Amino acid sequence: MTVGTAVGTGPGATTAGPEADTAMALQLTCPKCGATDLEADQASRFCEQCGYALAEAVTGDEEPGTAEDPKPCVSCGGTEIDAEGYCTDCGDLQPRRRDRMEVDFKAVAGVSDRGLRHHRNEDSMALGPAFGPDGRTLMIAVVCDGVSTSERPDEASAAAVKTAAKLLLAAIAGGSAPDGPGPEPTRAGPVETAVMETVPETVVAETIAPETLSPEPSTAEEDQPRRGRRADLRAVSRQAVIDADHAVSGLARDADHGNPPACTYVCAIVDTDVTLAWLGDSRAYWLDERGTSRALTRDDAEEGSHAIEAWLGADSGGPEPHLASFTPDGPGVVLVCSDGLWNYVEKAADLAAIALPGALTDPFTAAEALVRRALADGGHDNITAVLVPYPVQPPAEGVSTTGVSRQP
Amino acid sequence: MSQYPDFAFEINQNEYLAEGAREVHAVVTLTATSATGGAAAPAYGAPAPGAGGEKVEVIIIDCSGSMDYPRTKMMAAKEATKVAIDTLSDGTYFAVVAGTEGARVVYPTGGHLLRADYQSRAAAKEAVSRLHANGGTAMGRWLGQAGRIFDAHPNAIKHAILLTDGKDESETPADLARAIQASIGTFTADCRGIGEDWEIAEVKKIADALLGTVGIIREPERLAEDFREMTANSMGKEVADVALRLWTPKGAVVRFVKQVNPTLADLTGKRADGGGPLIGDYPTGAWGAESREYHICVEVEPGNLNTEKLAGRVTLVAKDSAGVTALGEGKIRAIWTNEEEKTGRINGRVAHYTGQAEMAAAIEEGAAAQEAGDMPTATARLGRAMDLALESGREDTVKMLRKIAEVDPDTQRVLRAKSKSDVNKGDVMEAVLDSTKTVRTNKRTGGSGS
Repeated sequence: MTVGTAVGTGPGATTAGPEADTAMALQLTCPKCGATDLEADQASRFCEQCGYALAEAVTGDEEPGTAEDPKPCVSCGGTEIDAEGYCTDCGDLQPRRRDRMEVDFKAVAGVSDRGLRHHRNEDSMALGPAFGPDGRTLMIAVVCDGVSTSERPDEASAAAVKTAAKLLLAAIAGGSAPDGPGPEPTRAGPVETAVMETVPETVVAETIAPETLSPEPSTAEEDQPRRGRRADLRAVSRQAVIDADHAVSGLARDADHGNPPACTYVCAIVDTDVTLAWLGDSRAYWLDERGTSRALTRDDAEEGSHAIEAWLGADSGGPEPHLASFTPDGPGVVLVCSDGLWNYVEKAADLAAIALPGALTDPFTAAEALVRRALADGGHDNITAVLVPYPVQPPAEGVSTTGVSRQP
Repeated sequence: MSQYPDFAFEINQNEYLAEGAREVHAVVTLTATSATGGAAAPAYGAPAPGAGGEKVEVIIIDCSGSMDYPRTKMMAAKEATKVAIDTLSDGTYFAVVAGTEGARVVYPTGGHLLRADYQSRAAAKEAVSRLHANGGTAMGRWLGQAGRIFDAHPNAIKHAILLTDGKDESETPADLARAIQASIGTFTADCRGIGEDWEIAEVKKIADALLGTVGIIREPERLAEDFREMTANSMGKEVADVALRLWTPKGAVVRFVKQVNPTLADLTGKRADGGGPLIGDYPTGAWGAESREYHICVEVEPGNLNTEKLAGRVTLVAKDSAGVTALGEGKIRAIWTNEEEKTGRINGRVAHYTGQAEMAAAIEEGAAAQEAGDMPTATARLGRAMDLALESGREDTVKMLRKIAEVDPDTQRVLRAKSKSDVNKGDVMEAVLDSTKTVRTNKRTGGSGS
């Protein structure tokens, strides 16, 4: 692995710029302090400037590390804003970091917006590259939507995505699920190359069968030995949901009046295969230009109803997540989103029409376009869209990955 | 003093307001846990909790001539005072004042206070035994005397018990008002009226100003237990001067700040400067291990849809010789939204105490109208009070209202107020005073606690 150098200039920088310099090595800008010499070796990836560990994933609501000039109150021009963001003169809450979160890693990007009708953004996302022990790069995208009838749903979704992403990054770096057979030996050089070419066309049609039971990797491996790694990712995905459920449950307090913090969950791990886990009505879609765009998840809710039947939180009952995986048959993009988006554009083909072909090379601009569409159509709910182009750009020489989280 | 009770701070409100709405309501629940591990009511002779928490108790007994009519009043007053003296924690400074048109310190007689111990208690009880009823009533002078006694112990937790049986006849209302004004902030006082010949309004002025309670003693034999309770409660105090410090945004109006549990007490007019034009301090007196609730209503400039404004920041502060110490903090928020399912929810606690306060006001107004012979108003107000009492399950209040109003036996609703000549004055006084005690609710639906 290599040490990244500067591309963005820190939070607030515009990253949707000219074509990436394909001659540059993996470049990461610290999402916390904006430092550009992010350490990225095998076991530990942290910023030498502020110690920020990349294993914490990027959610877009990171505190800016660089001292910003205090901004005057947006309502009265008062100059003093307290630690919680209220103007000490007129009391108005200042626009919050979470109202609009934008993360652009080039190889994965996401936008989360408060929308027009809610007073805060209760969605959260976590995304970024995950590095396997063999040097391969996977992309992870987690989206959680706080249940608005629960207490502090914003905290629920934030805790869920952070906890899940942390587990995912650590487990992928370790090479196996936490309860799995132990870390795989580190292998030099790329492995499992040319997967797409070797996958039969039929796999696409066959794979997406949302399951409510825990995975049975042994059977799958017997049928298709090449799926050995996929089974690991399903176990990892499942463990991430369990961890996230614990984290959200831990937020419950006596004063929650029987409505402890709760949120939905959807996660995609994009490798040569795409592994999905979800609970509730946040969704993942496969979008391509070959007419095979489709939903990859099935809501835990009655058709046409917003009353979800499974969630994360103290009153979740320890839900078993749905797990699924599939191998795309060509280039496309995985969309992970909250219902604030699909309420307005539900059909995969319609989503593809907005996102493609731009999302293949510039997922951030495409995510912005999707969110803009939901806002234009009413923005009744919080809107979150994360896009992962497929195939994943490998972290070899010749690929540039930049991560910048920013708040307008 | 360095040790304060631990305060748990909870705010219940529905922070969601409809577009254009201005009024923000919140109920603040404060629960203090003793810093010394002592119980709220120490047993007989227990050492005063909180090594630095020096306490002074002054017991003021009405010795006007009417206390001998019937004689049981004076006998009960003496007995109750002795019980109070026995209830004092060891080491408490104390005094007994005989109130007439003047105010004589009957114990101690040496000019400076003594700490409660076996000897001083015996001497004080002996002095109390010699009290006799003879003279007038000038409560302002009683308070003035108490104030002079407390002056020698400026940093102590200072509390007075005041017992009267009649009207303040030996001085002008202005004299009393001046004496009350001079006492504010220097000590707290719980007041009791024995019999039915005293004025609730008069005594309430004293108790409200001095952050205490008013009670009626209709049966003299119950006075001793009441004195024991008041004294034990006073002995449990650990911090003398605690205030609710309320910050509100520029342009906001504090509609009211009321204690709503365990008793109703309006603090709105007691606002003192808390450090700047946006900050006011509302005194809550002394605290021991206890829980109280406050209902705060702030009117703010409406914000735009889907914006949030901090309508108030509530900080509990202890003020003493060491300065100002923050003991807890909470936020009163306002969020404007068009989501009716959110704005429509009335917070259970806010609704409950709004009802309790309205019930108390209705009983007071109904009783006043009854006294003045305005029967339509009396019927309407007592009727409303009955509805609210039934709604909140206050069976005692329902019983009391049945004594002063005619009630439909089937529906329990008020048919008409009884005329003044048909009611016992004590029944009316009891109903009025009892209504200022509130019950708690567990209802918290609507909005959130934080």
